[in-house]
Amino acid sequence: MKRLTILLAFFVLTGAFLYAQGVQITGTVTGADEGIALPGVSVVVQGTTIGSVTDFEGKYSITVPESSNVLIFSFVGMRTAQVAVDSRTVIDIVLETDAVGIDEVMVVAYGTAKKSSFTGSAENISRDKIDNIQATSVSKMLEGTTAGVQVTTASGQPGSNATIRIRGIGSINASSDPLYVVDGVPYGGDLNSINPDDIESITVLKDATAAALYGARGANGVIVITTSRGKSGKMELEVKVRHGWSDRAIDEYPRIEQGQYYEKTWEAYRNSLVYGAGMSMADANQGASYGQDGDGNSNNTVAQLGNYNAYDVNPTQLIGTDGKLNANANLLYPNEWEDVLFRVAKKMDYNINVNGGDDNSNYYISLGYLNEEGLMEHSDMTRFTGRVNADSQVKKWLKIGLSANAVSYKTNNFSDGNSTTSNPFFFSRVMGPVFPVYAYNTWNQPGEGSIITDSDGNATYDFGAADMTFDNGYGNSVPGLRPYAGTFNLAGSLSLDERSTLVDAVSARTYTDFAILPGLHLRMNLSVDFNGTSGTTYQNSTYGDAAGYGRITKNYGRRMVYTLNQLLTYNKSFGLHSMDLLAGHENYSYNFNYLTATRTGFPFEGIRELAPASTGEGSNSYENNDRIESFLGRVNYDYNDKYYVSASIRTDGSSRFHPDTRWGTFWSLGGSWRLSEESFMQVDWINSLKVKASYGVQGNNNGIGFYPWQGLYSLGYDNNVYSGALANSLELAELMWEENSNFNTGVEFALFNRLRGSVEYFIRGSKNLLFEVPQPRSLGIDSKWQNIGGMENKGIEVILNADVISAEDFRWNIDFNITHYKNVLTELPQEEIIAGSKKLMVGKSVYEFFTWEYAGANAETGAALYWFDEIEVDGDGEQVIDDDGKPVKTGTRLLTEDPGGEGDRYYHGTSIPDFFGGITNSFYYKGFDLSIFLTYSVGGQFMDYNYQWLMREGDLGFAWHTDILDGWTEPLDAGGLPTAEMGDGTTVSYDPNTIPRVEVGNTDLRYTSNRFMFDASYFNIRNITLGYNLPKNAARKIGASGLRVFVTADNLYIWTQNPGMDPRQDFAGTAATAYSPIKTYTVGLNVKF
Amino acid sequence: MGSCSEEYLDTAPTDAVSKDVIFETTEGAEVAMNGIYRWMYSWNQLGNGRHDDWGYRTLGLKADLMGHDMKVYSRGYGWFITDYNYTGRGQVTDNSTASISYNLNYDIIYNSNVIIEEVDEVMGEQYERDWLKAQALTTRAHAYLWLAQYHAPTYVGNESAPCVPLKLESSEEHMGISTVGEVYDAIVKDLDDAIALFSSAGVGRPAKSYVDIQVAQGIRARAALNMEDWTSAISMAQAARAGYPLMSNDEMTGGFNDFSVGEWMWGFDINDEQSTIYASWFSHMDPLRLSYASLGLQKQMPQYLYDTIPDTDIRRALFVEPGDTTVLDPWGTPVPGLVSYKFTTPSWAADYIMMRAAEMYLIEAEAAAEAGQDGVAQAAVNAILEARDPGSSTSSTGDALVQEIRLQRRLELWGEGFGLFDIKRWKIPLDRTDHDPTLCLTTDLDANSYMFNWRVPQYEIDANDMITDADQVD
Repeated sequence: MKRLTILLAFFVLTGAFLYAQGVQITGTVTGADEGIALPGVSVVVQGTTIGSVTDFEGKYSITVPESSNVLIFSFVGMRTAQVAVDSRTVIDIVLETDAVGIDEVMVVAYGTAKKSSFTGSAENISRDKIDNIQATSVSKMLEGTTAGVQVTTASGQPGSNATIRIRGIGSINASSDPLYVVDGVPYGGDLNSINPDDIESITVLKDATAAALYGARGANGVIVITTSRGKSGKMELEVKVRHGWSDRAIDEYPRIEQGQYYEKTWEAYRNSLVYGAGMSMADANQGASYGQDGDGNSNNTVAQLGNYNAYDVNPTQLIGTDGKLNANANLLYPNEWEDVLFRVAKKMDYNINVNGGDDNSNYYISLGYLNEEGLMEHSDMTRFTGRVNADSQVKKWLKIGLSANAVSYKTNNFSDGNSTTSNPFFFSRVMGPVFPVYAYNTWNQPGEGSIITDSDGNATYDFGAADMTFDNGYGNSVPGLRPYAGTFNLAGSLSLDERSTLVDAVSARTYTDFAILPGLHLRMNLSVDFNGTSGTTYQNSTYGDAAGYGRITKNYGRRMVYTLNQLLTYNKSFGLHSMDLLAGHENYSYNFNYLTATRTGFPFEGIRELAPASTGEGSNSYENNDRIESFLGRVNYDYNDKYYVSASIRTDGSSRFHPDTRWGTFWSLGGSWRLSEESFMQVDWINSLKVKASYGVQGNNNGIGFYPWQGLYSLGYDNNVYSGALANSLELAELMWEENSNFNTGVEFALFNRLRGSVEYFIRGSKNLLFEVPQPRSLGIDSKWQNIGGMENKGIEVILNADVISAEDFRWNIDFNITHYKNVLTELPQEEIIAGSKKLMVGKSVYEFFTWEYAGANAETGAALYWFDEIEVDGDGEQVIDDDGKPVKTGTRLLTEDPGGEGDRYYHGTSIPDFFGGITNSFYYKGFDLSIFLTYSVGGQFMDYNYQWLMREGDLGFAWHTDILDGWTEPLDAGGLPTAEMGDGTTVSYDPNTIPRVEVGNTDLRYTSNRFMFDASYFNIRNITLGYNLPKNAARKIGASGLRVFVTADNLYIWTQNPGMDPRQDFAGTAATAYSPIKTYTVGLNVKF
Repeated sequence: MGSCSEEYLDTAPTDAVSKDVIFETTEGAEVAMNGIYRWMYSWNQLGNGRHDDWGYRTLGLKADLMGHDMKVYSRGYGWFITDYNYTGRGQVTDNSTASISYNLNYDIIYNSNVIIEEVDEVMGEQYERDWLKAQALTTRAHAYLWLAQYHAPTYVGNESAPCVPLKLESSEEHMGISTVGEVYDAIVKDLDDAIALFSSAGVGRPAKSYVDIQVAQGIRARAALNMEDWTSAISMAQAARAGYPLMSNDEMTGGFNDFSVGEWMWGFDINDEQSTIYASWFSHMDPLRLSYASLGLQKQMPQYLYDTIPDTDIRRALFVEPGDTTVLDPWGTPVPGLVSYKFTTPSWAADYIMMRAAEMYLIEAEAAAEAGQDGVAQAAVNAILEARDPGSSTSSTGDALVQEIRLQRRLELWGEGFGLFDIKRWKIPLDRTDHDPTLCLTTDLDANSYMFNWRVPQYEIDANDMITDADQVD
């Protein structure tokens, strides 16, 4: 410290000494574009506080100390010029117009930085870039907006969020999600609580220099959201009104209709009698059409479908022994599940904000109201938001500010993403087309073809017909039983059920900044994120799963997150050197309380609370705490605005780890060189050129629970009334952070006054991965967390922005980004780990598909054939085993019809695309603007489980994809088809391009295999917006200072290899039955007063 | 807030406690023991929300569906169909039939091991420590018996065949696969130790969900029957059932849902809070309420077997008489013929049976008949016959008596989880006469078929240094 004081004193004294002598210099400053004199240009002697300003004629005069030789000319909108005096006394200078974006100030970790001086990799996404996108959550806005950022499809469920990966996949078992920072402090709320209209900019921090100051939480990148603040000057009132209409962005898979469905079911049932039960083909044809059991009940195709007959003919006459539908049959009722369950969803979005301020204070106040319907009936979101952001320079030495957000929203939704009957997307997709929504009078019943009504004349729903009887055509009245979801009707029960969430949240950030000495500040930040989530799940007592009693679950979760920090900053310039320093201390505290209770036994419908229900079915409550304490520091140094170095360090202690291992240190070092500032690079067409490199280490402690190191017994395993507990976890005292080492290098440029961009190369290596290492199950545990394993993401990112045309009346701008990266596992705790559809092995990616390999359909029988490796057998018929205990392969591949038993799995590519990105074309013409934003992804594989569902072998009652019509139906001409040996030594002809036969019950025919994999490439018209800004004069006439009207379309069109599939659902490349993403058409009006 | 002290970073959960807290006193150790009992009937052990995953009754239902005495009416929602069809055997992933057995039993074994290791040091009376240790030894032996019955061929003639890893400590040491003989030796030793400790502890149990000396003797009798140790089987079965009456007719037709029935020796007392609704045994067994078993997955008895039950036998009343339209499902539709409603309940809070006296009579009868003690055997089986079909009895001897006892066992214990194990033990082929061939893809299997033995889950092989793919035998 003493040494530092002496050093500082030395600089101060030398500065004063130098001040004493000098030479007077004069000159004129003009602008390059129009050649006119520039008044108000600041002229400073580099490295000193000596300065002057040009007058109205652009003239200046300044005294330059003899030891100084450089003058700096700077002016808003112009490129700053540094000029060597070189003994001259008159210096005239022409300033170039600054290319947009070169010297913007961007938000980085714990502060801001000028883009030109920043040594790391961070991309700023400004308000105008996301303004067109109509989304209720900021997470849904980022797809394709900048390089290195991958986004999953946001579910169309109102209130849902998208998942984001920055520069590849950081972790295997721990979290790979980025850290969100709002207004300078890590955010503990829900992204849905932020009104996108309040967002001023989003910055994506990608490399170590940018993110290492977030230490243990920065490894997966950081997304910094900055909200709007008031501008000094005139008060401004802005009103925004938007109305939208949404529909499915991705249409449902094409499925076969009723007549085809009976025919195909007939065939599947017939085949089960032949190939399963061993009947002759002729007998099976008879049986499938007319089969009858000893009691006189039919067991023909119609009976297999729960006696549902959608046609006006005798069910024994519906399908002939040729498998063809009776030509005289007419449909009695439609397939209308989608019509009944889906709708065009409406959205209303109203926002109003006021901002203003003077030299010392500013404010921004906003109110928002959103009402968004979901595509499905009974799903929606209603949100009220309010925000106040204010800053005040109370005294010269004291500045205080606040940003506070309050939100209350309610969503109604239902389960999605799973294959339960209560998921409408699954239910409506897989329901066979011959099962009606409403109950109908069927063949040979009075009122044939009409809907059965209740005593009030209302249509009744078909709940699987277990309570109805049908004429089976043999004179018997038989009960119905829909094979799928036999007692359930989503259309009937959705309105009676409830799955709602009510969220109240307050998020506040405050700071107090003391200017202690010139350049030295102490800033204290206190932020609080409160979130209260109250959930209701109600199953009605009239229909469905809880018929007769009803069931309700209520839960309440209260989350409170505090962050408190003290930051000391100091910046100082001396000579050509300038420095800024940061030192700080931070505490983070997360607290969560949860309470839930379930009761059943409702006497009547109506009140959806616990009180009316008679019987308790369980209740629980718990609390979680998570804390981090940190010390951090950073040094930024630049020399002559050409050379920049920055270094940071942070030490974090986390409550998630044992006291002996809980402290970890993270750091970064970066440098950049602005070549364009060198005299040898002063060429016309180079506006700016910078090279940079950084390296650093960040941590990840997320996604491993709150107490991963502790050896625990879980409570609540009570044996009736006797308290019970079960061993849950082993003590893991050595567990610690996952580490991410991040190398980044790149070049940023601005050329020809119209082309800007950057090219960056990164290597992101994860080591000490927080790995849930599988344990022998015989130890009594599945797995334990260990710091084992490594992974690497190497990639390249390119961002380009070009002003193709920039005439006064017409402008055309192209914004383009592309990212390529490769993910490779470098170290694993086991040689191979099979996890679902993937197998992890060193040298492969984390999302490498490993599944059975479909060879084709057996030409003779239509059976599905799969490959497997032949194993070497010794003279005794025993398998030959190698030193590792693995059977030795002969190298020959054989075919099997039993994939689960005999078949082998093979690698089938990764879900990670070859490259992805976005491109925006923007046009401006006399007040009109048009923007077309496309996103794309090329390469990678996708396992479409939804398609597999629709290509089942004949699971009675389930719908079929139209592709099933192209499947094997009769023996193929084996001539010209390939042949191969089966496991039993026989030889078989097979057709690789044919879909196997259908056959009820033979699940081997739809066994998970590469047959259901598709290219994951997609192309999305993400947004098209057409807007018009009323000329200022015209606006004034109606009392406004500005007026804009616009129409916009989001997710207008998505192209994929398999229509119906959405390859963006999941980074791992597998399909779930998710809430379809939406396309939205919006009209809007913004008025400023 | 804002403290620099180390305590700031010390946090602890509120829904879990450290092992030290549990093993401070005998009261705490009893909490650990109750956790084991609860796990025996807990839903969702694999953690993926499957509706066919609720502890030992899941394993029991699988054993019956892999036998020849239980058939399925239709595919319904498809649960257990892969077991019924023997098509799931090749799947050894973390979601398979093999994993349900493996995970449940090794969870019980691990938790039992910890109690056995820790209980001697906890504070409390010696008799309490003995009583707790005896329970943990019993639950460990019970788990190994299930594993041996599922994952290995039957004991006799296969004593040196591979079975499962024998973990008798809670350590993290990897264990290779032990032989059937070694595993049975451990089962017998645990149970003998447990019986001695129960005896020295000399205290009763608070509820029938706890194991006690007679339950330990019952499990010992089961093991002895598998080992064809007829002497032990007889003596243990007799000791186990002492004092337990056989069910009355009303109790037989009462739905097997109430553990207070006198004949029940061990069972789980399930309340509203611990019932798991559709994901439960009764959901898969009860055709009279809204459940999987009323939505196509009704469980039937094959006609030929049903026809062996006399009209006067109360057990005939547990199945729908073909042609009878008076037994109705929740929609008022007649339940199909031959469907069982042995297991039925008015409420989801229905108890799970684990052991009852009739089984002990049948073990005694079978062991005695096999040992040539026809008189003892007749007395035991006649006790069952007299209770179920008053006035009936048998005087057969020799093999005819053995066959008669086997039939009585199949009728009496139908649905209680013995189907597959009896086939393996008796070394008879799988014979699915009267099953629907369009539903039932595996209609017959040879005696001693490898298909009867579940495989080692692949994740065990991958993670265990002592086991390789070569240990996977068929």
